[in-house]
Amino acid sequence: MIPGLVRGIIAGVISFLGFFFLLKIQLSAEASAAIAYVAAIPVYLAVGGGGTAFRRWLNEEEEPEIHGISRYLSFNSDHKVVGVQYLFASFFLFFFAGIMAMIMRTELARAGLQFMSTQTYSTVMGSHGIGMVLVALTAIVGGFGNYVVPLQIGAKDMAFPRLNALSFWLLPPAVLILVSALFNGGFDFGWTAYAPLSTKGPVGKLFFLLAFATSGFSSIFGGVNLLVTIIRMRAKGMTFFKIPIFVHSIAATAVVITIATSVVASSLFMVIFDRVLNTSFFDPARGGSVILFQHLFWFYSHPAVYIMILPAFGLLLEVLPVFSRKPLFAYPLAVLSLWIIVVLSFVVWAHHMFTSGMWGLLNFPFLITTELISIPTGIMFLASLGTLWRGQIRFTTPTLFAVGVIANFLIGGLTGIFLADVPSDVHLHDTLFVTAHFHFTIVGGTIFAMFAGVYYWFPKMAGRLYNETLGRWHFALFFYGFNATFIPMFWTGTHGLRRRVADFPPEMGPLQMWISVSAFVIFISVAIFLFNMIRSLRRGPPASGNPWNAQTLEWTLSSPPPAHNFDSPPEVHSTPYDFGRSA
Amino acid sequence: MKKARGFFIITGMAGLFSLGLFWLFKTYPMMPLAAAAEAEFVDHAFNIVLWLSIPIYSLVMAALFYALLFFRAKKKGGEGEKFDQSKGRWVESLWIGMSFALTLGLAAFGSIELRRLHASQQTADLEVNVNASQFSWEFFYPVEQQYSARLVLPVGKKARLLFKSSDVIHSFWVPQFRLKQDVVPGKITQLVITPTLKGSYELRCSELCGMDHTIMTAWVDVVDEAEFNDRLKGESW
Repeated sequence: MIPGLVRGIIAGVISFLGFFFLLKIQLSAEASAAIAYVAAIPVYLAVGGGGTAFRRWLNEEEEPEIHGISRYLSFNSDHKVVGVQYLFASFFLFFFAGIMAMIMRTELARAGLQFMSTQTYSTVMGSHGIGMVLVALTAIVGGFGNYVVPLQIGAKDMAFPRLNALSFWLLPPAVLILVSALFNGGFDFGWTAYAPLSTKGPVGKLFFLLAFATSGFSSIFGGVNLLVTIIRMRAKGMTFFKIPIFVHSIAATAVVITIATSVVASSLFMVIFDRVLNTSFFDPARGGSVILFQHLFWFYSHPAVYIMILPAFGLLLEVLPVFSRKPLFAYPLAVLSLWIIVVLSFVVWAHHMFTSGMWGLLNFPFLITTELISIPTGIMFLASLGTLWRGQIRFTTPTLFAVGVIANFLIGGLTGIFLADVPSDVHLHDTLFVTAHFHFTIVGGTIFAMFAGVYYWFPKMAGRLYNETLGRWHFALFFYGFNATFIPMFWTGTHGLRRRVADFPPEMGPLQMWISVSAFVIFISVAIFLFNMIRSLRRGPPASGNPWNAQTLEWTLSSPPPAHNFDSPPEVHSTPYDFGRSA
Repeated sequence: MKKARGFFIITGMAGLFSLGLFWLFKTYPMMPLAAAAEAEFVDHAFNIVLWLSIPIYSLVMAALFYALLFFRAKKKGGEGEKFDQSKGRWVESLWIGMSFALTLGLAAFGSIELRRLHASQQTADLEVNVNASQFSWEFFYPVEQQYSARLVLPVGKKARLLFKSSDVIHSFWVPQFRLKQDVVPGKITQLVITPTLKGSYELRCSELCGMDHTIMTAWVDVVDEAEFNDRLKGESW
């Protein structure tokens, strides 16, 4: 028996090719590809197992329980399975995009072009970008949001379990068509796909846009589902200020996802229409505007960084109280700050456009709103430090990664002020300073928090303990490699190095070599992580239900939790961080 | 006494960090050579934020180090102290008050600097049309009706550059001039620059404009006025 996902993908690819060549008789290649892709997705879903699930739903039948490895490759509505599927998909993308980064750093180790043309470099750079953006968007929200949130609020499953399965199942076609874009002319517009660069050129660009739009739909479905689940399905007694902070952060993220993602989806569709239907949204010669694209794009893509970082804040503050054995400091204020960030995240988008040629006076309000966002963000540091203060800190791997988030995000946040300040941004915009800044926030924040979460919940998900020594080595090498790679980029950026270029002036040679070598340290650390995970999955010592002595509801269950989570609906009486002794 | 210890250690560490960082940024300046009058606005804004960030960074890192050193678990199974809530509110209010003051200060300062920058862009002594296309730059002097592959500017004169793109978005950036402006199809954007230092500088397209974005560069020559007039009269350069 072939697993559902493989079956679906084979059927999807065959029907895509079939539709494409059939349509090609009458239509352009662009139009045929777009229609064939949209038509192939239902085929892929139906054959992959969605069809059976739909029939069961029509007949009001129960989903059968499937055990063993094969359920992770099936159309499965169990939130724990979907969570693991998301995590594996994210790691797959993480390694794909990571290898792209290594290829880039190999090229950039020396001045001049070594083994790549500027064209291949552009495509490799763009696929690193979009790949990692998807990882940062889905790893925590999709992986832990699905796996942990229903457990933490004491629910049996998500509010819409089949929609949940669908939201994961939209990712594989997105990844496939993104990878196939590399072999169909590639794309030369990074991950931002600015018009009018994206409205013309090889069909690979269309594939990129389709992939981006598909993952957008996946995000929206997931966001709505999480939001309804968190609002409607909390355990008895779990009032607003008794919700675990991680759940709060996911709820905040879900609001941003549902509001913002539809806007980027529409802007991507407008580009696709410009390409396929010959409309002129972004063609100035026919009444369009290229700056309009940037407004629409950043109206999503700035909030998108909060989709990445809010769950990371939640995870950081979830992990710290457990390992410093103290209540979460300033918990209500931290929750409030998460929601203030949600509001502010929608009014700062044009700070990506200070040099874009938009109306000059718009710079002032966006400078101010952008600076304001540092206040609720600063609260995260207060809550973290306050939680560590007078604790009994246990230096497990999740603690180390959480502390890493604080140290890295401090640099990421402070360098953001340079970019919010318009006069200094006109120099720094589109240089490696920006690259270093957002890697410090997204890698230093989101990815470090993701690893903290992986180590923290690994015993719960796998039922086994990971190897602590290897975990510490992973942290040490990752932390060093990451800082050694990105700190020098602030300097090279202010000294004239642009983003997204394949070459640099020879006088920067030694520094570039240093950066490339450091980047490979990150690669080695991730290899250690992989080794540790695979080995512990198979041979780690069995984990008890609550190895960390934590107080959120997922730890009241066995490791791994039973299929229907809770035998009887749990009740909540206190905050989830009631650690410590009274002084 | 114990509380005083924490205070002294943290401020001491923060002071040491700050001194180290100040020394580092003084010895290895973050900004390259400045060759235009407008660079002053940028460097000023950058440096203010830099000097302000250093103590903030140092304080938070010192507090973090202190916490990690002194509050690590001393005995197995030990529990932390529940923080005194009333004191917690003092800390919270102080933190919020300070971050409001800092943020509003920075926003006000940034806006003032931005107004100065806007004001500097109003008048100019000469105009040059800059045409960008994938993947090259071309310069046109409207008064002299001269085309050129290099941008030649007289030193000390305010030059207004008028940007036009014939395909996609590009961006004009000379690191030594600091200012940056996107070149947008369908509209004319502009920048006023006053070169102050003779020499040749590289112009780098800094908005991803396609496959050969890397090599979309050109040269900018800042020369004295006599040479500028000579070169504009010359037939080919």
